[in-house]
Amino acid sequence: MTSVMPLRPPRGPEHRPGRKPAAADRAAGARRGSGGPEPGRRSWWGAVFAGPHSVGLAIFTLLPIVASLVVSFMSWPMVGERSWVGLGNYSDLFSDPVFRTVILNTVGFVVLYVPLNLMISLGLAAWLTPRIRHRHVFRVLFFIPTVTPIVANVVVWRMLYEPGGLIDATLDSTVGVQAPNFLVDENWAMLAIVAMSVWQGFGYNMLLFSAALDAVPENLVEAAQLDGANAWQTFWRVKFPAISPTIFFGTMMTLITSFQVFAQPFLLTKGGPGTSTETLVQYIYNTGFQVQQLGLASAGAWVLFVIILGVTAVQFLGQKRWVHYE
Amino acid sequence: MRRRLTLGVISVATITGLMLTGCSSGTDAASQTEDSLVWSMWISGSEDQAAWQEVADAVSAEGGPEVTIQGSPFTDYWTKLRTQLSAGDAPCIVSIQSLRAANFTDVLMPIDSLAEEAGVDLSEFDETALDGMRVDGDLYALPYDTGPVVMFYNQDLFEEVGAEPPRPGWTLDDFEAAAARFAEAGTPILASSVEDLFVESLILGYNGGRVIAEDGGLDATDPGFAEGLDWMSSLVDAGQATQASSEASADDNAYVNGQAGMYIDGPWSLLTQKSRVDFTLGVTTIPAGTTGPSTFSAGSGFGVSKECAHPDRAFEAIRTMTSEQVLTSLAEQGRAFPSRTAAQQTWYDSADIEGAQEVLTAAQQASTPLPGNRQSDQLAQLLTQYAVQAVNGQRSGAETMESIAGQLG
Repeated sequence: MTSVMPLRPPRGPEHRPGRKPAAADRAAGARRGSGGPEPGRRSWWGAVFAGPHSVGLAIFTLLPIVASLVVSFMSWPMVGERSWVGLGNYSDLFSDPVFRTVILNTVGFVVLYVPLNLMISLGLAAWLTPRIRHRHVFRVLFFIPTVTPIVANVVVWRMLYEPGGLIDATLDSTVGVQAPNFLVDENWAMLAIVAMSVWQGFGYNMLLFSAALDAVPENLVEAAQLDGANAWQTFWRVKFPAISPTIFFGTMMTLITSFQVFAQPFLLTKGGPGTSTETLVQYIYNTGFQVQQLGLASAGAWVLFVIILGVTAVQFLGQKRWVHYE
Repeated sequence: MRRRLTLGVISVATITGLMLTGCSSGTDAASQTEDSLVWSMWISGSEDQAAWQEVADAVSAEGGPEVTIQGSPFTDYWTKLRTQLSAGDAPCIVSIQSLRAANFTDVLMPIDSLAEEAGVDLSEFDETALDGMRVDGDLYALPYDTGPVVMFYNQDLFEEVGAEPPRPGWTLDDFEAAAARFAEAGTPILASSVEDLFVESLILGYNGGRVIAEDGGLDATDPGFAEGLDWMSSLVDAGQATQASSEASADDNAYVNGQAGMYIDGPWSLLTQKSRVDFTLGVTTIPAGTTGPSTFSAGSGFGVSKECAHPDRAFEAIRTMTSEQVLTSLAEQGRAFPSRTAAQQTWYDSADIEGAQEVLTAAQQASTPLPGNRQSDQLAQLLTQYAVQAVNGQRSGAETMESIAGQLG
């Protein structure tokens, strides 16, 4: 190992372990040097720079959050008398069979979407090693769906799914079988939405994982290879643990956003057929803007918040078992 | 040190101030004066914007207030309007659809007395158009367009499959005979739709079934309506109609692409569709079933919001916006079938579609305004979600309507 190392030109990743302590030293030195006479100077400027953002955060985020909590305890029609109902909205929600259905739909979406998204993005990231020619082209190609407006994506996917659309027509002309009418069939609609969402969403994670894999120290990989590990073992035993913080981050963000899924079902199926693809956020939207019960809608939003908070907490507790920080 | 602190405080204050003014300057509806009013309107593109801008300009040219259009796409319009009205930030002039007038009576001003004071001769308006804007006897808007729901058909396709061209007043039997011809040729005759106005009109024509009663009350479990859905499902099953989709434009597209012989729409779309299709477009009435010729009509108009501080000026504006001159010029552009009878001939002339006048007259006579209901937006959403299943034969009409009724509460 030691004889091999100096032969290779020094590259980014190898310098990385050394960089952190050096930067930390510099920072520590700076603290020591400027400590004393005017500690107030920098802290004031900090407040000034943080000021605009903090004001924005308070006005546009904290205030609405607190307000929505208050609203969730009130009967608040969009126009008309408002009154305090305590936990009335919450008990209404949990006794509404449609609300239970939309929670199940949302969980169903998450259970299907998150693992598929992670598997595909990780698989492609692992495949896109620096040895692949034109990997940048592939990266861009895979990332395009993520940056295209979702409405445009939906229009294209609708053309694939429709009777007489690409899937149906292809099946018909090759095997002579009629494809199901995906978007209006109870059994297929959610799967169709998941497929479209995965295509739309994996690019971001792929880019993240790909960058993390590039940063795995080459010497670790090489050591494993010298020890006789095959590609599969190298990936799961060396690379995967090394990028586990990134995977944890990706999983977390994907989970959170997938609980908030709205645009795809709203645009593809409007929540139908029946309520088979209606998600929690669409339920909140419908309750707020069609039924015009803002109190009930706020309560729904808080239920979603608690679900996401709970799932995130469980993730954080579970990370100790598989996430390795160097 | 102190100087720096002052500087910091000033910059925070400035930025905060900028942010706050940024918030308030975006809502021009709040700053309406006697001479400058805001008009909320659904706008679908720059061409649309230009046409309505001319209408707005006509108001100031007549000595009325300056009218600023606040546009949003039709699908978002109602949500946005509701939110604005509830936030106390209402535009003075509000565009409204007849079938939604009842949802907005709490925020719109009855304008009968304003019309009387201003000496507006309401008899110059189409009777059905005015009726559509009345809720419990009070008038809430001056209509600018109206229209009975009709069917657009593909003349070339009818000829090709050897079906009798549909005459105005054609019956269900005629329809079914033509549908059989289409099915033989392997093309569905009807592009199915589950949009509220259209599906409700088709079923009203079929057997008189309706989910919104004449008094505007909801009756989602009406057995006639459920039977109507079953009938639509039987058409799909027999290959005589396309499968329904939750996408509102699916039926238009199927028709324009020649994948179906006909579909349901209103005269407001006639000229747009005529320019889109590459076949001869025909128009006919909804097939008359067991209750004789019948269809719903709907139209749009302009009302004055209750919160408006200058209702007289706002009324002056909407009076000009629905004047014969403005409506005639809109008719020339083929925008909307005018609510004033005097302007309708211009529309027929510019439409230049054979038999359109005969069909629209017949349909208008057979039509009743689709009454609005507070829950009609929700009903429309539920129909898109559930009626798809009924029409495509996954559930019976009665089951479907029961689910809808359950959600309407």
